[in-house]
Amino acid sequence: MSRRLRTALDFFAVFSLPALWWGGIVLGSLGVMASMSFWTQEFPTFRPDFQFGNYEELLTNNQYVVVIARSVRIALMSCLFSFLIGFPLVYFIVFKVESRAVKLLLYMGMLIPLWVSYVLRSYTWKTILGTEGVLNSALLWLGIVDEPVMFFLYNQYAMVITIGYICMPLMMLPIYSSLDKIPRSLIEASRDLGANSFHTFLNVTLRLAIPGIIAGWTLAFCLAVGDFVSPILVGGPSANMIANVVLTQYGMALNWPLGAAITVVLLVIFVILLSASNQAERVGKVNIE
Amino acid sequence: MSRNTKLKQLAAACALGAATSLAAVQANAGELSLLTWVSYADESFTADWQEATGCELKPTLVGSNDEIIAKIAAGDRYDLVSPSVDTTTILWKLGKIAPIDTGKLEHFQNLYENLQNNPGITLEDGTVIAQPNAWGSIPMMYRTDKVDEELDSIAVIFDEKYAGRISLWDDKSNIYPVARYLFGTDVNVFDLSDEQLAEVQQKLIEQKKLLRTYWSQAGDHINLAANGEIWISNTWGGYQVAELQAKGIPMVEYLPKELADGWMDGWQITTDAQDMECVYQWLNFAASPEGQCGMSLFSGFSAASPLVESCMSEEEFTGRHQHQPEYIDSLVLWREPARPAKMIEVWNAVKAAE
Amino acid sequence: MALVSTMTGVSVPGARSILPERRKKPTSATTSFVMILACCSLVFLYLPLIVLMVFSFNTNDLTVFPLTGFTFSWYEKAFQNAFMMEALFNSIVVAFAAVIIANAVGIPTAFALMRWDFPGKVALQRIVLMPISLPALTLGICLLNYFTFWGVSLGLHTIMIGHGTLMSSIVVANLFARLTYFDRRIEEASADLGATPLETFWYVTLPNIRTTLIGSCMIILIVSFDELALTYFINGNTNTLPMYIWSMMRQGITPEINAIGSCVIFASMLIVGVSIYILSRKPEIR
Repeated sequence: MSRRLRTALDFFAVFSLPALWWGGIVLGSLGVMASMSFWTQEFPTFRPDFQFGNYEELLTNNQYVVVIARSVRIALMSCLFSFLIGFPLVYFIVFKVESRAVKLLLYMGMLIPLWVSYVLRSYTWKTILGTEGVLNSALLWLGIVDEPVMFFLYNQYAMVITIGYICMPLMMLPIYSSLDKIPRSLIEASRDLGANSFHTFLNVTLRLAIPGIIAGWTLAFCLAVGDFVSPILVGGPSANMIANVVLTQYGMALNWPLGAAITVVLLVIFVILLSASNQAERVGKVNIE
Repeated sequence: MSRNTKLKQLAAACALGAATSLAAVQANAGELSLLTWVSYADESFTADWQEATGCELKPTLVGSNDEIIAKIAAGDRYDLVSPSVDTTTILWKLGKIAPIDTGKLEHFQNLYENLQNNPGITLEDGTVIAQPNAWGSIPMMYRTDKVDEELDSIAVIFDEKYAGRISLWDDKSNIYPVARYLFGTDVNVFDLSDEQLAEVQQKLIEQKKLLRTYWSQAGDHINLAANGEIWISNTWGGYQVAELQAKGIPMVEYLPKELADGWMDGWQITTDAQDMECVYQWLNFAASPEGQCGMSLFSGFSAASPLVESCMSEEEFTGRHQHQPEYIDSLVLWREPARPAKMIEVWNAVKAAE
Repeated sequence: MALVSTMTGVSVPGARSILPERRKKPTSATTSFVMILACCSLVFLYLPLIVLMVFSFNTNDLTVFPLTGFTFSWYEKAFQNAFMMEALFNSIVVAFAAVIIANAVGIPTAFALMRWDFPGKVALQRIVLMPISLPALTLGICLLNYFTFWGVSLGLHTIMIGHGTLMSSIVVANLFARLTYFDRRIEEASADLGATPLETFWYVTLPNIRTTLIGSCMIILIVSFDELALTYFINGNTNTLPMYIWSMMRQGITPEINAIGSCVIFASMLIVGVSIYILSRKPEIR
């Protein structure tokens, strides 16, 4: 048996089940969804077709444009929020904590919420922010306010807080690893050359952390823009995000073809975004070896 | 541990996984899965029946009729569903509903005649596609300790004074009262023109800035009102207000002068139903005086059977209009809209708007 | 790739930063400022979880201050709920099925991508990593369309397939990271000594990637146990624990959710703690 043939046989032996899985299920389902996006809705069912009406609807009907714009806006605001809250913590752990044990503890502490139930993390904010919720009752009890504050819950700020909270670990992890890679000698060199700590932070630390920051924003953005739980739980009447619209098309609107079209557009956007971010990370990487 | 035992354990785990998944595919005999509203199969009145018949109820709760259609269309398997009469015919056209063999029904003839003859229950050719279960109105409700005036109109949902204190059901049926408010009570809300629908849509979008949030299920709705989030809302006649009053919240119902919607729900058998024995036993229990009493006393909804007189006080009986079944005709009783997809689209456009 | 491995990898702080600093710096004003900010972040991160746990023991059925009294009744109620216990059982079955599928699919995939060259390799790499780099909702929708297309009724088996697919990606991503610095000479040595490829895999390769595999299994258990967005579309009328919790939320059943939620949080923390411990305990280099 030739070596080449044997390698090929080994390959098939190892790879037949996974090939079936990735080809049969993942690729297959992608194909079915892509083709369904050209179908026509005939309430309460739909029939196979090939027409671009669903895509046209997406681009021309104002309601979808509004929702897409809102999703992007809220996702970006949530990312900013989680970046502003998360970055100081990461910075602190990497640069200010001396003891190894404390560092490990804090690292785990920042990691653990990532693995705690997604729904529950969203839900607790509803109980915290409500008119008679934890925050308001605490404020009343402490005598800080006389009347419950209503604007905590059921608006887009509540969504930014909730989604930002959910995204925090994803934002922090890549930033952590990029900060962690910065050699201390560089920072000290910057100081020795007379830069004050603010300039050092800006020109050395932040500059070298750019790949991690890009990765963190990308991960957080992808999670945020696909969220459908927070809009339902804390978002109030004008909270629908893109995922909620997809949900509705597969739910009560019973317009799977339109839902499939939205998902296809989403997939394309995500793939572009992820490759762009990978590219940006590579460009932003400064060779420090 | 030797490698052999490890392998064996792995194999056992695989087998176990496969077996459980297979077991899950085959529905258990004696188990009835219901797609229904919160109060139609509550343990409080079905426990004895389940014990006696050995049929086990597994209810999945929904918050709107459109949700029922969506779940059935997605291929979820349920034995029985309990949509309203504007939806029973849509499910029937989907081909997901089996006709009911009235010969096997013990109490169908005892139900109110006008309910039996509703086009969402008995089709023109005489096929029975659902067994009436309950009926009522979609009134408004408000907290008397927070609202100083006596309300009698749907117009209150547009009142700036109550901004941030109003809630609406997350359901396309919000279109109907607003259409009557805009175009008068004579308008056929189930067949609105595109212009009329556009106007309703605009009005509902303007209304959003006064809205605290939408509610979708009764329990969530009760919490919203009990937690002081909302003062004014539409509701399911009888149920939420009674629960809130029991919690000490001074909430009252009223029928707006622009007329209120009426609804009637019926049990339907799906084509997926396996255990027909249990299915018909359930239908017969649900329509029996005992089942009707349990449901009606638990939910506050009007019963489909006049025989509930046996278990109700005079006040409960007349309060539910059980003595005057024609009352339902004074409500705008739901029926399948001429263009259901259009209605849903309008409602979704309202929800999507900023 | 970097994105994905950071997302799934439970790594420990890099060795470099753990080395003791050469000199101890005095606490400066900036340091205390950063410290205050960091404390605020930590409080923000943990406040919701603490609130949930505290109120799961509170007698009042509204989540409102002041606390009214201590009770275990919400826990009792939650664990007497037969539907919830069924959902819990389903979740456990799904999680273990996901572990089995993910390893059966993911390990060969990772090796194929790492060790062989074949046409379409780059495309396959993209496809394989898609389920974890995109919101789980998109996978759920794809699968819903697909199952409906083939007339497959939805239930526990479809949830298993869905979770299996998502988790296979996790296994691949983790193994990929491990295999890039795997010393292949030990495999060559094994082959030179006359071992068959299977024996080499079983006695040489597997022990060397064991910690990575254990780590992925832990991650799979946790992720699968908490999965909602994917399960939402393909569960039919079968509930997993998160789906049941979600339906309880929709129905507004508050204190019981606090109780179940606290248990879920506690279980997740336990698994994470154990897996971090296992992963950091010993290096994989022999």
